[in-house]
Amino acid sequence: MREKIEQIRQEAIAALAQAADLPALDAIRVGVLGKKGSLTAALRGMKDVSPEERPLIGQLVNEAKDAVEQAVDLNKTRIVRQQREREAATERVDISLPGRKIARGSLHPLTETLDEISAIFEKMGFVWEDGPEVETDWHNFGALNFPPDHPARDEQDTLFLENGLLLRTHTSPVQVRVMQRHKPPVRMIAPGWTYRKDAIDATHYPMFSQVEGLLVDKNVTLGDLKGVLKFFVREFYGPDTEIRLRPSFFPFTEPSAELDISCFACHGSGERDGKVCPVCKGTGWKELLGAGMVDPAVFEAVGYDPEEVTGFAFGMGIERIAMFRYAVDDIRLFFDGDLRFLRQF
Amino acid sequence: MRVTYRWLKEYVDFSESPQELAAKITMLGHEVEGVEKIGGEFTGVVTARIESVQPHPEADKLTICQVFDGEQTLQVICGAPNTQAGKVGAFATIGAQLPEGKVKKVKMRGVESYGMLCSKAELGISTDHSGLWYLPDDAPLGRPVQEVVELDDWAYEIAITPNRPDCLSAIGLAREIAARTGKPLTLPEVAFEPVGGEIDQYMQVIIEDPVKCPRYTGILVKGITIAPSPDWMANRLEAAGVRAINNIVDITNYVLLECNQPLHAFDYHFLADKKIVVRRAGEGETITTLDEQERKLIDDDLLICDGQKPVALAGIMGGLNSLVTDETVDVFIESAFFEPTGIRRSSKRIGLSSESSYRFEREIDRQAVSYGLHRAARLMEQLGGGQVVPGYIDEYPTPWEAKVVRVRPHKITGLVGVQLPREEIARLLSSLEFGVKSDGDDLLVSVPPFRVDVSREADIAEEVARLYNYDLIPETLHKGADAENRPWKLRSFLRDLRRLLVGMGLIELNSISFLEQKQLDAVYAPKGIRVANPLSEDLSVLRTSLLPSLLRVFAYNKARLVPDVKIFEARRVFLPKDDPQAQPNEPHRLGLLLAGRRHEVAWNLPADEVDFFDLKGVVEALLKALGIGPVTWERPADAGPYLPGVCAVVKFEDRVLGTFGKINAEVLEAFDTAGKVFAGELEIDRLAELARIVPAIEPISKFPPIFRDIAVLVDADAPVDQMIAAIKQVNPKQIAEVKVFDLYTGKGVPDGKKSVAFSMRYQDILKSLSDADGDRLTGKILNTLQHRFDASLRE
Repeated sequence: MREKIEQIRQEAIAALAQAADLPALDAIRVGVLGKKGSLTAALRGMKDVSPEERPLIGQLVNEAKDAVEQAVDLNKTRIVRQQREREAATERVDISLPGRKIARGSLHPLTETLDEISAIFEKMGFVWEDGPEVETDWHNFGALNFPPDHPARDEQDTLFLENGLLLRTHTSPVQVRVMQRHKPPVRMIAPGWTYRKDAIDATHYPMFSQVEGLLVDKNVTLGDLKGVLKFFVREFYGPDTEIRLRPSFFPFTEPSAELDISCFACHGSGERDGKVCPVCKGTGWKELLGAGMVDPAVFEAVGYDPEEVTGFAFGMGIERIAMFRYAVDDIRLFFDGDLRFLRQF
Repeated sequence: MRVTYRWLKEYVDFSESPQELAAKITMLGHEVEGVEKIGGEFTGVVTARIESVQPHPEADKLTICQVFDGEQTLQVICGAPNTQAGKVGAFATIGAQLPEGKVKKVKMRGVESYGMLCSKAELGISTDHSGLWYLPDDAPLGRPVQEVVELDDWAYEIAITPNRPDCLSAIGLAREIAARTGKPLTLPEVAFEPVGGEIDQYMQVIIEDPVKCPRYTGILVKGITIAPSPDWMANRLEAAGVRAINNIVDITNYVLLECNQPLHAFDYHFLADKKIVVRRAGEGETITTLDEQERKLIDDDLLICDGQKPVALAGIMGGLNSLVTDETVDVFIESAFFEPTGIRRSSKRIGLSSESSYRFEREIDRQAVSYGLHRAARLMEQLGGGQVVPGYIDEYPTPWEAKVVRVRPHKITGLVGVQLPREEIARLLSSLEFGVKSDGDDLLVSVPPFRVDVSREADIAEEVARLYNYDLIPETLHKGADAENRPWKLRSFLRDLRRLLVGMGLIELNSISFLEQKQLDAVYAPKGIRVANPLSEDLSVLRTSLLPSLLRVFAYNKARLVPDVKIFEARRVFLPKDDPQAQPNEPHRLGLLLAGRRHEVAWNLPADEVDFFDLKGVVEALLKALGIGPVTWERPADAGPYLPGVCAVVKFEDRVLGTFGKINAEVLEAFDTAGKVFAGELEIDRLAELARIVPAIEPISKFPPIFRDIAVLVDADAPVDQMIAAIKQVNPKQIAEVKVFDLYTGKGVPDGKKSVAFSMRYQDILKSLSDADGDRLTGKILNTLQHRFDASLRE
């Protein structure tokens, strides 16, 4: 009896180790441990065993049963692992094929540029303001200290409407509207579309976008204007960018200035690959925007007291900035709607 | 404004190089846009003395010269008519590089020539071909010509801002340079005649309109000889972009460029009755200007007349009947001040602008009018051989008074942001020729007459800041209170909206706001406001709809074999109000257009084309993301540009959010295109108002769901959205989700019917649902559908 049990146990374990798959494993298990299994049969043969030997044999049978069950579990793990290894070895795709296309649109390059610029000013507490694109002469010119019949108006060739209104030539009328609506302090930016009667070519388009900025408070200085613009320039163009503020003229600012930045193509050296830098034409500087201290005449027009407050304003054209940013040499690409261009953004 | 480096140097002895000077001028506020090297573009040309001149044995017009360059004597063949022994000429040695090419050893009619004696034209200095160019007799020999005579120069192209007409002249710019460099300004010495005197016998000036003409001066130069101008003047005019004509005309142009004083030279003998009358034109009066155009005038225009007829359009252009000709002997010079806005109005209306009108309309220095007059007269004596008739006319009814500005130094430093002592402010202003006096803590600053742009404290602040140097002002960040936070809500909304659409695979456009009315008509959009002075007819109307722009872009891309178009544009349209004078409404619209393939061409994606439901899907996804709903979808009464059966109006609580659908073939034809195009417009302002970006969240049930599918037969036009709503309504607490998973017509479905298959998820938040619960709900749903939509279960 004892030998028989030992034999069953050893044969079962050997067979289990040979089982190739789970059904085979299960068949062996049933053959040993099942109702009609050899070990079960052996247990049934207990009645022929002398009472003295019975506990011992019983223990042997239980030990054999445990051992077989353990071997079943062990081999199950083995078989599953072998199966997975086989599967893993056979499943194979052609990884050189393109992936399934996910539809992806694109933001307009001017939107992207504008968003980035505005985010920098928002960091500095400038809030968004807006005004209409169809304006009155007073908001676009009069309140901004452009006298009637003054040559300064020639700089902004205006598109007039048949109803006597005009298309704003700059975003500056938003300054006027905001100051009329709100008491100081004012700290705003106003991005928007503007229009001038410029014949269409590679660098001119009758519609373009600007970002206007205005800060009015007590004791605002030209130094503050420089500080804000320098912060902007270094965020947008990188920390090594230098600025240069140069006197200029705008009817609605006094003093007025233009801001140049060190040329981003040649880093201000004026030379690139041993030649005159084509971006800044060798000057090392690129004109970026117009700015200045708000003219007292503008404060008077909107009902602010120029003795109480001072302020600065600036305005920049987005297209030119975007053209350099994306190395686009034809402004028309922004507006033609050519998808071969737009989908690259 | 164009001027040269050496020209400026005539008035200020600065030490800056041409590039350094350009940078200084720019930083004074006069942007130097270009620096161009002019003259002296040659090498290998040295001074050499002509030792002897012999005729060429074989050619009448050639001579054989022996030329000594300080070291050796060389034989040179010369064709010039003015060869003269003893003179020092410009000798181009063999190998010299001239504008026309390299100098080589040549043999002319059997005689060798070792170089070339040059005329100015051959050196590219001027157009003077008349003969050899001679240098001073005592010039050192064998030295490069450029070292002996200052030939090389640099022409500056300078952008003068409209507030600084004084800098439209060489002297004006020199004055700025003098202030910046601290070097004195030296003006050409000009001897003045006394007012009146003998001139009164020759001419009388009457100003009838002293508002339009506050000052008129005149002088008479007799016995001049018309001739070409000397090189120095012709060269400067050329560098400034003015063509040299003859000495008299050139002098008037030169003085204009030098002193910013426009002048007019009349042939004295064409002036009837020895008289000049400055008066307004009669309505409809005409004058033929010297460009031979007849100009029709109105009462606002100002004329210079003699005793009988108009002889010049004041401040703009002279008349053809009195201009200086080659026969002119006696010249009457006009130097006047005309009121700026009047000149500008006339110039704009007539469409005639000149160097003179450009300056008058920006305002010239009225105190310098007589200086310009005398400068021109003296030059005519000098260069034209004329004789000034003693005395000059100066009609100047209201003398000029200097503007005096009270300046509070703390206001200046407060605006600029630099602590400048009072004395420093005074010093900076004095260097710009402002008069400065103390008055207690303040300064009383009198403005020089050429500074027509300065009248207020802020203007003085700019002068101080400019001369102090903007670059030296320290950068600060204003520490004042933050402005009241009143962000424009629409801006962040637009930002979100754009990004949502990009995420759905659409490409953003920005197209021009103008188009043609017929394009608006084609899409049934309202009439737009017309541009009064459009660039062209196709850019003449402000758009009232985005559809034409979208269709144009579709057509543009399709024509370029890019037929798969998924685009959007979020922009304003311009809707006229009832009152045509009022500013229009400018609502923001979202234009959407889909056409072509649904997916990109790919090996593992279907090649289907987009349909109505792609566009509806975009709209639904957008509304869902914005938290707007439930919305209703209706067929519009008037389909406009869309196919009546394939378009929808989307509404929220009876407010129209937008309309979209399949574009009618006729509409596409108006845009020269065709195809299956789905497009529409949504009202962004309304979406922004309704949007609830933070969604209302429903709790998640911890009990398991049950799924049931049913298919029903209903009439073909039974509204599925209402069926879905009705199903949910059966038990909103337990019917968690309803989806349409199949739609079928065709075999097995009777005509006029459709089969719609719904998939329901039943799930209760409070308890587990049994299969029996599921069956009961499905039964109720079928009852409802049968009752409300005449539906029958499809087995």
